[in-house]
Amino acid sequence: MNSEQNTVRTRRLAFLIPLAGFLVLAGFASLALLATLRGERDMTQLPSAMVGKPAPAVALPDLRDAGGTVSAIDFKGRPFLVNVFASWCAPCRAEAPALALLSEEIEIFGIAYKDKPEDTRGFLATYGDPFEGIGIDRDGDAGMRWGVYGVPETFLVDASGTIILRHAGPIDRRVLDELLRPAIRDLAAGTKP
Amino acid sequence: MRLPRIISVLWCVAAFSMVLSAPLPAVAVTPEEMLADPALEERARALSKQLRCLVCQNQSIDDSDADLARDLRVEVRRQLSTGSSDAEILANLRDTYGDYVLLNPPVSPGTYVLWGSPVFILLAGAAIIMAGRRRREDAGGTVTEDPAAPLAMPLPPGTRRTAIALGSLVMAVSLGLYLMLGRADLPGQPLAGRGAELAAAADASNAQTAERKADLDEARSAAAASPEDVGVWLRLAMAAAAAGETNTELAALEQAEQLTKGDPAIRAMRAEAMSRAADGQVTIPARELIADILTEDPSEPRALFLSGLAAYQDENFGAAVEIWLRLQSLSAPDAPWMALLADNIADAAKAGGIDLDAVTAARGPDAETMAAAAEMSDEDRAAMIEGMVEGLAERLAEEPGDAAGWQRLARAYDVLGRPEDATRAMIGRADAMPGDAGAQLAALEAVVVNRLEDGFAGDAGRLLERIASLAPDRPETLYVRGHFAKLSGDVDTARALWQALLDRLPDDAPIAGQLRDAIDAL
Amino acid sequence: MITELGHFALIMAFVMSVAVSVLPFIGLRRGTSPFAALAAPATLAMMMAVCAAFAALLHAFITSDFSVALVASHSHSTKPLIYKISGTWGNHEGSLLLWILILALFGGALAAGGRGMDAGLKVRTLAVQAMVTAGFLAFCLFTSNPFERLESAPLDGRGLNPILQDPGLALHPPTLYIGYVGLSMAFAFAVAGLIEGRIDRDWARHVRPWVSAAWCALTAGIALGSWWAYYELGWGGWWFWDPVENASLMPWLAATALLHSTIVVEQRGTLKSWTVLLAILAFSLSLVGTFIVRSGLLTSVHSFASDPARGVFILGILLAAVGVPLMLFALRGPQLASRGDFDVLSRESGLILNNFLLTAATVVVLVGTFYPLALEMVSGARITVGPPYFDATFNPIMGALVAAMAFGPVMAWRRGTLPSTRLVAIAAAVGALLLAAGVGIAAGGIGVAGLAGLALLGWLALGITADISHRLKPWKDGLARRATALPAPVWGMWTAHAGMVVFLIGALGNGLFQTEVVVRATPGQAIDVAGKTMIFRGVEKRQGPNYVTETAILELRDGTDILAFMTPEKRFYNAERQTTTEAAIRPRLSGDDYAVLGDGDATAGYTLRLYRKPFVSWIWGGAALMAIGGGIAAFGRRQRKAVTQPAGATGAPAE
Repeated sequence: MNSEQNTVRTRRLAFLIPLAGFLVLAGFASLALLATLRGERDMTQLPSAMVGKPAPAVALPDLRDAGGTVSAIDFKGRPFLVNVFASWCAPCRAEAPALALLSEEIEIFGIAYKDKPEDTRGFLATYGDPFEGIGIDRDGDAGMRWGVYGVPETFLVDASGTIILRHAGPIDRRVLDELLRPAIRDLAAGTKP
Repeated sequence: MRLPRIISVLWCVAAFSMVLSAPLPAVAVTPEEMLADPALEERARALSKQLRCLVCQNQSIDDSDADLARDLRVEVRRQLSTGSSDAEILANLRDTYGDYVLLNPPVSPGTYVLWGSPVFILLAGAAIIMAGRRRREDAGGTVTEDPAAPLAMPLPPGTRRTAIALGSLVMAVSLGLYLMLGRADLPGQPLAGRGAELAAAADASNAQTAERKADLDEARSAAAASPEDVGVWLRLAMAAAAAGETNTELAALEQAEQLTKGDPAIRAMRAEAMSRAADGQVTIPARELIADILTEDPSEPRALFLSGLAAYQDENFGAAVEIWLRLQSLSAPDAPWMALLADNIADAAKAGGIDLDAVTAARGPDAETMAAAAEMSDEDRAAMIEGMVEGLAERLAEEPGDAAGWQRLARAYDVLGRPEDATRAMIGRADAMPGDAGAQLAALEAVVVNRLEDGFAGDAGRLLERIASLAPDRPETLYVRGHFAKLSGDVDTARALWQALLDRLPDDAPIAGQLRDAIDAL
Repeated sequence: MITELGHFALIMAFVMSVAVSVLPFIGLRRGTSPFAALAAPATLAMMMAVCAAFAALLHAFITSDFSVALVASHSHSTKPLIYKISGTWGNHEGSLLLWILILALFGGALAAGGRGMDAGLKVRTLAVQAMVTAGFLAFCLFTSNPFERLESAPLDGRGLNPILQDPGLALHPPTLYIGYVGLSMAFAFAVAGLIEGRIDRDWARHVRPWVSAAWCALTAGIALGSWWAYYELGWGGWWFWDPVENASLMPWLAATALLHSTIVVEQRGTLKSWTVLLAILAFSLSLVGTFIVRSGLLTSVHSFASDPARGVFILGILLAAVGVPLMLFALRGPQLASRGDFDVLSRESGLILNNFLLTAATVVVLVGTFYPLALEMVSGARITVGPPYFDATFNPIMGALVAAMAFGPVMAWRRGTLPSTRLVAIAAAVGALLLAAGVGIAAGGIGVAGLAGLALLGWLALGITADISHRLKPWKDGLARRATALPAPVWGMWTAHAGMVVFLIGALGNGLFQTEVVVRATPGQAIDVAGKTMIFRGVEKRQGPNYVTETAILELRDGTDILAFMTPEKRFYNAERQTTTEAAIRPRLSGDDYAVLGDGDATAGYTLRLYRKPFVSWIWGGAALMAIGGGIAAFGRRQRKAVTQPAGATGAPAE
């Protein structure tokens, strides 16, 4: 009798499996939807595998010094930003003012990704030049080493040369105020003591 | 100056410069990329099918035409030709780009469930089927025969009536919903019926293009003919702007700027042209220029507008609203940019969630102006207010019914130390509200206090008549009427009025004594 | 004016659908009432209203009425008429209206037909169908209204994505939607049956044609989509394991399982609760498939612009349309009595195995499709589940299914007659191994999976042949009599299963023996592709109706014979400022010659991608056969015996 009741109970439970499965799926979908609505979920943002790794030390031709080279290594010893940009990239224009603001707080190393030097110069003349140093990445090799998958991308590197943070896409107000500035502040606070 | 609209569109479009778009039908791997060694090339193709094009949607780098896919293909082949094994290459790319790059998800704690689920499903399914079989064997005998069902329902009585009632209800509710959602007021506009409109639009567009081109050519030759004339350069700049030739515009403005030795207005025009050249973005060089102009002339309207726009583009909406409100209060009400400015302020307030009414109420155009003025040098302040006042006066000349405007004007003239104009404004205000005794009295008071009785005798007479009928018994009325009667030499009337006033005043009123003296003096 | 009438008709349809979904229940509770009697006519009226609305939208597209926002943003005056028409459903709002139209047409078909059905079941089924319709009409009216108007009509529209300007688009979505939405009938029957608490053989008898019809359309729709991707995307592939493709595959797998399990319910009165669950799940998966992509949760190459705000509404509809029936199932399912007693080797077992494998395959696709999303929510990590995963998990399960397919139909109900089956099985197995070995030796270089596939192909082909010859006995007299005596569903099954054989020939032939050549060619150059020669004659610029094109001219030769001129194109669409490539395909039964033109210029040469794809068109031929089989089963002469036949009769030569 007892075992029969148990069978009946398990049988009833089995009929709940589809509903449970569906609710799990719906739960994930709701979470994702909620995150999307809040603007926290951006499908274009891929987590970077480079975070926590040392900044690639690729020596690039210097835009400002024909014949010379620049590299992220040159900045080692103090925190700095790396901005991968190009004159052909519309969002790079959009983030120019934000970079100008950031350049007051931290040094920025620019990587001109797959861009002709003369185009890069024109771009800087029109939209302003917030960069401490600019390397020419004519064929995108450096971009590949940095794991860049689109321009613009911005990396924050600490004094030891380790990549702390990566943002893909233009820096808007929100990214500036809620992501980059706090991270830069934390870094400054952390390096002082 | 129709910048912000362009910009807000750009702001949305400029999401990310990747080829996130449609599946670009592609030729993917190109002969140049391919390796000479067929065995290596075959490995390269196989590897490419294992790697995701990160910027595409579910395409392997072998299928994708995207730039990044090409780079990755080249990278895979580079590593192959240096002798790396397939596993090493996949591991290298995974190091740089993460698990996302692998189309075959690697087995890791995060994918245990993924890889385990097929096995689990097969085992669980088999178990359930086995259990079900056993049960069926147990319950083998119980056969429930399906009960016979009634095949059709007879049509019940009253169906027709219900149908009509239900139909009407449906119609009524639908109509109600339609009134909320529909647009019966908009006629259909099939393309076939719009031939004339299309032709007209095409003509207009052609004519406009031709006209602009002609204008530009004319302006060019004019500038060449008299290169020392600032006006022709400005005209050229405007013609070039209309024709969309920003480089010509910038060059013309630079000429004009040199000729005028850096006139702020012309420099502001250049800042605007620079922004227009950058698809509407107020660029960093433009911002520097604007900052220079504003230190020199804090009320340069175009520079103020652009500076507000820069704040708007930085999504600093509070600052944008503030700057634009200041520009609004500084501008003549009929300034050509006022409509656009109002739109932009509303836009920025909406974007920033700013309650515009609260801001304007708190600051008020006057308070705003005064606060701004307080930070300026005296000279600047006077100049600023004068500019503001002129605009206001012009507008009031056209719209004399704006009592508040008159009052503002009067106050501004007061500050500027122009009592006569202030008094005239007060009279304007009184005329704007002829039924308000207080306004009449205030104007008369201004006349008296400023000792302008002679100049405004006619106006005063008009106002006196009004208060005599509006509030004949108010003490102020009695006093002012007496004052004017005295001036016109009508001593008796003056005495009678003042005496009436004195009678109304309590004996110990402070002015009672003065009044008595005055009566005696008569 | 017509647009506004259409808008009003849509609103009326919404109000009526709400009425139909509520009133019958009031009616049935009161016994025979006018409300219940009105369900069918009201459903018909609602169908007419939706038809009117759709016609109005079609009219707006055809006449290029740019005062309709949808037309302005998705059409263009220079578009050829056919794409103005197909543009009606080439966007989110219009396709939603098409979806609703089909939903209403199915409801109308049941309202007008459904003869011999229990009146209570019919009215309840109509009501459930109306609830679904009401949900989507609300979604349409309040979040995605196709009749949105513009105050000032622009002079021209923004155009239709050129990749969608293709005859394939005119057919693919409607067919696919008929399949998706057809499953709503099975769903409505299942929910109505659960509400009534009665699922029986009569229920199965009435639901089966709907399932067959939906499955037929779904098969055709998926095949059309795959064919479209094959010739339009120019990647040379026919299945990419893209989320949208998976979204259509899942309901297909579930519907296939449902198709087979309703047979068991109809013939044997068992597997009732399982069949009801499948009916709910099949339509739920259609819903999930069509709409989750539009919510922006998953990204796909095929999707319309997604909008998370719409996603909230979609999720609400899904919760109601899937959650509530599943809850009902959890409550009422255990009471659905099943009857049993059959052998391990019986038709029932075979069909259970079929259902088990198809369900497992469905779950694998479901997990693979949603796993990245779930993982992202749990840990924030982003991974890709791509073709290699599905090849490793889905293909073996389908292989097992194909293996079961060969002998399942041979077996009798309740207990299989092993001796006769064994002979067939041994013969088939030997034949299969011989085929695999033969092809393997002849071609060489085929992997284990390929050989297994070939063996399965032989096994299935021989199994089906054995079954057909066993039943028809063509060597004996009276073949025609025996053939006509067989019920249509049996013929449908044979056709569909033969379609599977044809499909496998295509898939394996293309998968194992494809030749691909990528070259940069200059005019005059001859390229060898799998024994034939392509001579590149150069590139011409041409003007199309609303695009300009670069057309390459390729001369296909076999030795010295000119077989054909192939003209792959690269098109530039002016209105949309987009480029597409058009592959040139010379389809033959023995295989396709396939050419794609890439970038280049006359001096440096043009990139050409040339293929020889053996048997590739058999893929769609097989799918077409399957669809035809489904159609025969749905619309052919039904076997009436099953209802009156005493329960427990064995060996009925049913399907």
